[in-house]
Amino acid sequence: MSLLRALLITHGELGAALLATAEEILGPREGLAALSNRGLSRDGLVAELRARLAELPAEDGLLLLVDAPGASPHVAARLLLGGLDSAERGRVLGPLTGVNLPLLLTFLNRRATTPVEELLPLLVERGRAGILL
Amino acid sequence: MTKAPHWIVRVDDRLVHGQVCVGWCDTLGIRRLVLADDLIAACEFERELYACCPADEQSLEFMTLAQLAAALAVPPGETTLAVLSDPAAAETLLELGAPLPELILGGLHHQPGARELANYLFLTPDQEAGLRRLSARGVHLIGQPLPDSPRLDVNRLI
Repeated sequence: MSLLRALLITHGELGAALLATAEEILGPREGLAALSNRGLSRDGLVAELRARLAELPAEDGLLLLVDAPGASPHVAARLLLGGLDSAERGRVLGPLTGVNLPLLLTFLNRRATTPVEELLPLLVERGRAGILL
Repeated sequence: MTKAPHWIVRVDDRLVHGQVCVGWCDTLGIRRLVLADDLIAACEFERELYACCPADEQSLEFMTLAQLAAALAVPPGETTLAVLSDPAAAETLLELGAPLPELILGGLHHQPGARELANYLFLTPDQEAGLRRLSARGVHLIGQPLPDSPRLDVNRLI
């Protein structure tokens, strides 16, 4: 996998805003995209996801990040994964729910240097650690 | 005055999702959800997909349309929100003898050839014809994505 890309699937403009904010902090980064569920049915959102996956360069992987567990972006991401063959499935990671800024910044700083099997648990840890009382 | 436990039947092409679990059920204190769809009721993968949607205090039951039609014939023990994927499912409920005084049209999103009644409500000619049949059979059709949204009188718009 030469580049692990990320697709943020969210309500409204949350994904685009998170990406823009992360790039304000870290500078421009490659391989990032956002997809809003706005105006899309369940099947419409899955079709959009399939189209995005079809554009994925053959040598790259893709991490699906979604905002809320059980919401339509999460359901659509799981439906997408359920319909993939094993070769495609091997290139798609997640979906990881509850995406927030600490999680996204960690992804961007560590994706090139951390093995995938360690990266996902690290993202979960950093995402949770970003919530303090 | 507290309203007696009753059924709320909603059409939503996203089925069970945030607007349903949080926007309706959490806001109104509804703890029982039903997803009525013959394909989903028969598919373990689909049932598992939706099992994580409700909050801990909410329960989600999967029913066929025939099961929901039977359930609608009696008042529920607690107010229950039932979700259908399409107006055609509501017609099936009527054909099965279910009482259906009111149908909430909560989300039918854009697709080719669909007419926009509201930014959450797009109707294909087939769906609109189905809703006209429901209207002719006395079903009050309400466009309403969320409990606080204005109630759109769809019977007058189709």
